[in-house]
Amino acid sequence: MHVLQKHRWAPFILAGPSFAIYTYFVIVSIGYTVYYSLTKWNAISKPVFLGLKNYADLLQSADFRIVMENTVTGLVIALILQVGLGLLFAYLIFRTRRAFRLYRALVFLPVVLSPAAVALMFTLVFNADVGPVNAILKDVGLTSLTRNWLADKNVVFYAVLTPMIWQFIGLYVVILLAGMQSIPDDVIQSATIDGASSFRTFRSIVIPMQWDIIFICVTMITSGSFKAFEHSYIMTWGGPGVRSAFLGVFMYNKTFLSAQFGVGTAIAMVILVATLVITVIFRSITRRLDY
Amino acid sequence: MSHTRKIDKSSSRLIARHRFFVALRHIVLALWSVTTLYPVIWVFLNSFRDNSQIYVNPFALPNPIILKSFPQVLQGAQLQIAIPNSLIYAAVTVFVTVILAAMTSFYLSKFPKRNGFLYTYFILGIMIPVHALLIPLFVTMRNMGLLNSRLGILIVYVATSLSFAIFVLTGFMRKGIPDELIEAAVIDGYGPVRIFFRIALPLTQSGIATVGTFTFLGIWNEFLFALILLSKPALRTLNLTVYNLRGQYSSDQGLMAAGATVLIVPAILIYVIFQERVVKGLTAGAVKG
Repeated sequence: MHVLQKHRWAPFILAGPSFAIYTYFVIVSIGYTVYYSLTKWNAISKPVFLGLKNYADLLQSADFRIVMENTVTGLVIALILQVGLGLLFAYLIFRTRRAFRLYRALVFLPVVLSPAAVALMFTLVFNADVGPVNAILKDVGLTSLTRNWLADKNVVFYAVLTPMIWQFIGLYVVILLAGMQSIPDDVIQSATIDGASSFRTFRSIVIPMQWDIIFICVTMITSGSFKAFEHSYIMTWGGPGVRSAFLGVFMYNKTFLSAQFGVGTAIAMVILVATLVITVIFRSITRRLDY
Repeated sequence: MSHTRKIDKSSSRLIARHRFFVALRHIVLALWSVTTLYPVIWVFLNSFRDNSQIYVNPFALPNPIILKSFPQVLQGAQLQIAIPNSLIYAAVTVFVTVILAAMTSFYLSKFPKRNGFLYTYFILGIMIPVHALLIPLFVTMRNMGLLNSRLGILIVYVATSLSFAIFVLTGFMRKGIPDELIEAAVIDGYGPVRIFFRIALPLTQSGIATVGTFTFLGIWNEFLFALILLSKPALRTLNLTVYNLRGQYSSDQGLMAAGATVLIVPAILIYVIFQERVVKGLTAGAVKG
């Protein structure tokens, strides 16, 4: 808008406050994260410069390996369920005329709840004495499968993963559904007239036209698995040990419980670099698919 | 005659097949809806029961209905403090973020002078996970004396909300405000401030509503920053106080259920009232890598 150009002070007044707040508290903070991660620091005395030692120590640490295994396992399961089942459910809703809006509203409901509330809910659901999981297993005669879900180190990770997947699958269903609704009606109609079965339409028309949206979901789920925190922290504090911990909880414990700010920020850097790399790679793939 | 009967027969078979699949579809979707709703309803019902009822049968309806958990949550969690706190944090963050982001977006979308770099600079923040900011912001706030202060957490919330708001609002203003309108306003002697308030803001209402809902729910549900920045009970958010119940009364199932219910009900109400807006706001967050 050239007519506005003559107001030379306007850019500073308009963009200045956001620029200052964003630069100081976001961009400069990243700089501090990088710097702290190269030091040994308890947040009180002077930081001691270590170079890359924190990173080397992390790679050696058994706890870090468990946490990374948790992250990758959780990611694979989340991709299968949230994208796989998500696509199926989205398509079922897409092909439903009656109660379309009702189903969509219901599946999206958990997305709006606070992760803390959902974590608290599932703490009760997995309660060994009164939780419905054990109660149902007992009722159907599978008493041998009942567990102390939040304390048994072999299953605790899956107990923590369940609410994470349960809560956000609806988000991906709604995103995928929006993508399906953008497919022109006549494409679907002519497939039906040509005698394509519902499944055939799904496989040959819906999926190929959805690749970019599926990719957005994959990006979100992948970077989300590096950012997981609340469910694991609230249900088990990541324990026993780090059995049910994700990187966020590991970082929190190292920083605020053991006062190892250097190690904590090194873990933060792992989260930052992983999410940035994933986002950039997937974005460029999506863009290539577009053209 | 016999010919039509044949057609009737095969088409009725087709119709039967079709009906079967429609039914199957509804069964699958209904089962899934139950999986979605059941934990919420179970927790809600148990908030009206006490341990003796819950331990006898986790699935029974409240009988008799026991209301003691709610007053206890009210007291233990200090809801009369926590709910206003959460409301204040969310409302102030939305207000400040929307004003600052709208001003910035107005500049980015309507002043063409090579500001592409600035736009990218702001948008970068969408990709930065809060975890990468957590520790330095804790240190910065401590050094500024803003730990355990409303101002401190509000600054953090606004700073981390700006990028997404600028991204959405710049998009809305580029498409939604015709350049001719601004030219006409300038000819009529309007300055940038008046153009911003009289033209830009009103024409971006729908974008503002989307950003507002997204930001409000995000802050209402926020846990991590509140956990490290606020330890003083008088400043705690609803999320945080209910979480603390888990430590204090972890053996009282009814009480924990009541705590979860107190967290869930307001979010569900917001969702039911503003459904379309909420869905749009949160899926617009889809681009939020």
